[in-house]
Amino acid sequence: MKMLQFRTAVSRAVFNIISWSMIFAIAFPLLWMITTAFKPEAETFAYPPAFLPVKPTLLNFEQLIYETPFLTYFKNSLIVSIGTTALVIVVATLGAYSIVRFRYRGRRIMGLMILFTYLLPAVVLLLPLYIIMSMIGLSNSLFGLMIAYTTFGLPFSLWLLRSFIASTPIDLEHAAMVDGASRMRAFFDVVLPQAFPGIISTALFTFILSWNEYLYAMVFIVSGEKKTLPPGVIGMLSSTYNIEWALLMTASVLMAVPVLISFAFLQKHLTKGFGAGAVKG
Amino acid sequence: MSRIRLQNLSKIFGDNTVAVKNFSLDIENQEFLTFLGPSGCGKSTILRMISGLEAPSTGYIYFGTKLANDIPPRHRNVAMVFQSYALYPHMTVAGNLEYPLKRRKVPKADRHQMVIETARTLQIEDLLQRRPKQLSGGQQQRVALGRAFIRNPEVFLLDEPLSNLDAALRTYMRAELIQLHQRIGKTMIYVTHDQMEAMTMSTRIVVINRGQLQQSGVPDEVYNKPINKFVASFVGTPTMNFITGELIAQGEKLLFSSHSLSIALSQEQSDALRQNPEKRSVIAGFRPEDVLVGTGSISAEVSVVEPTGYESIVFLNVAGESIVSRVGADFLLAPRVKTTIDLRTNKLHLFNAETEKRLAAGG
Repeated sequence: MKMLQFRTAVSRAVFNIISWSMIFAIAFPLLWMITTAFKPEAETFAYPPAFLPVKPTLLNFEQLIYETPFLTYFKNSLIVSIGTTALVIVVATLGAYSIVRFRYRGRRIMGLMILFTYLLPAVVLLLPLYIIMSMIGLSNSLFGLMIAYTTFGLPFSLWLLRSFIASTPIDLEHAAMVDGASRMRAFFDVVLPQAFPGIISTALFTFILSWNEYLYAMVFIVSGEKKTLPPGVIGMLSSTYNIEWALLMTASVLMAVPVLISFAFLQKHLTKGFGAGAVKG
Repeated sequence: MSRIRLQNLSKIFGDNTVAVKNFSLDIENQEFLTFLGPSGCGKSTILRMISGLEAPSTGYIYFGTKLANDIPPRHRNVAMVFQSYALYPHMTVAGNLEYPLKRRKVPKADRHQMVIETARTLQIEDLLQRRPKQLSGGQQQRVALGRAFIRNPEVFLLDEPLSNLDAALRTYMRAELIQLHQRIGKTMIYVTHDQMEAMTMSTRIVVINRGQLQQSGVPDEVYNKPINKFVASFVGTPTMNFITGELIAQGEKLLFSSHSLSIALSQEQSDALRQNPEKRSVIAGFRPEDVLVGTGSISAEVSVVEPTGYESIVFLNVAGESIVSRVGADFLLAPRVKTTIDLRTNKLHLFNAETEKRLAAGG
């Protein structure tokens, strides 16, 4: 018995050591990024390196916000990310509902084509999308960038929401329709609440995708005042011969804030609604 | 609302599956009508066509004199209780009850009052703030019924609402439904595969098989005068015994003869069947309660005895044929014991062996 307890304690200790080591290895660069944002320039490359700032300062934040177009880029990123998320959610939920609930010619092929699009690397679509945007006068515009992001954000979202909507028992919609709802009303009153965890997942995925995207933003947007954060910050703080590391770390910290806030508010909704048990098996 | 008329309804699904075939029926006002049949026979499809959730492939549905084919479900003034209950999981019980009233723009104060009254009637007032996943099966079923009754529709459609309940609760809810029907006096159309539910609850039973109407009648008629072998076998537990044989003339009377037994028909049955009776192949049917064990002259051997508490079901071997009898709880014979049986001739049913249609029935 004592031997068994000893073995259990040892295996638990080994598991904890390995787990925490992995967590530390993953988290350390992020923690270093945060502490560097609060270090003065001189401490950034001090040797021996210090994890925590000796003289913590907010100077990097002041400089970034007041002396650079960071807030302009931040605003543009927010517009593009929120706009793309809204567009994807609307199109994906309605599209997924159409694929799941309606029967029409070409439904299956359309679903496969959407899936095929998702299998392509985003860079493959870069040139054709740029040409299309130029032809319709949407190049160098935030709206054009939103449409571009929707193009490769929609397939995954559509397939994710498809499975959520398919798992919603059709009896619920039918009950709503007999209770007095039109088809669209039943969609809003019954289907959407059931698909809410999927919608949250889709929203988070799309937001992060749009927020962090660099290549399309760099190619599609040429005007300085329309740039989003990833190309804007890199262009502003790094060049061939020099990188403003302190400001870059500060910018990275500030760029992570919206994503962290989104996760903090929406995390509980990701698991809510599973197994609601309103329909007997 | 007066009657509902179903006229030559057919439903063919996309893969050419014929779910309902040329189904016609008049449903009278205030009836408790049951669609009875095996799984997959089309009874739920017919119910869904009445509700408007399925469009007929051909045929017509009339609510009174008004053609209803193109009227959406929300405008048909019907309420439906689903087999799965279909309670809205993101709403409380109160929210579920209130939903149909909201859709009909009932004022908020009135809605609240109606929810309270309905909950009180169904004894679920303590559950109003719970969500469906926090309810037992019986409680969910009451909420589903409440959501149907709260807006006082003309027709109630119930699609096997008791099938997920345990036996005791099912018996209790059967009585509740009968009382509710008597109290509210509205038309109820009930779908079930349980012939006990159909027999005990209905003013009329419609037996359906393979999408086609087999027989429509009061429970007594469906039980005692089944129109064909399918109805005879489906209605009644244990199922009716069937033996294939021939009708042979024996003087003034007819004799049913098979390799296992011979039964002399009554004069009435003989007269009714006196149309070319010589060696006509027929199926004789007799209910287990009409097989009398321990009397008569037909040799039999007890195979299995199933005591149920208030009676026993006895399986007998009669010259290789399996015959089921229903006897009293004090039945003493054990398996492999030899005995004799007799049949109530006046309760004998006869069906044409080819068409399986009724030739004569006891009664």
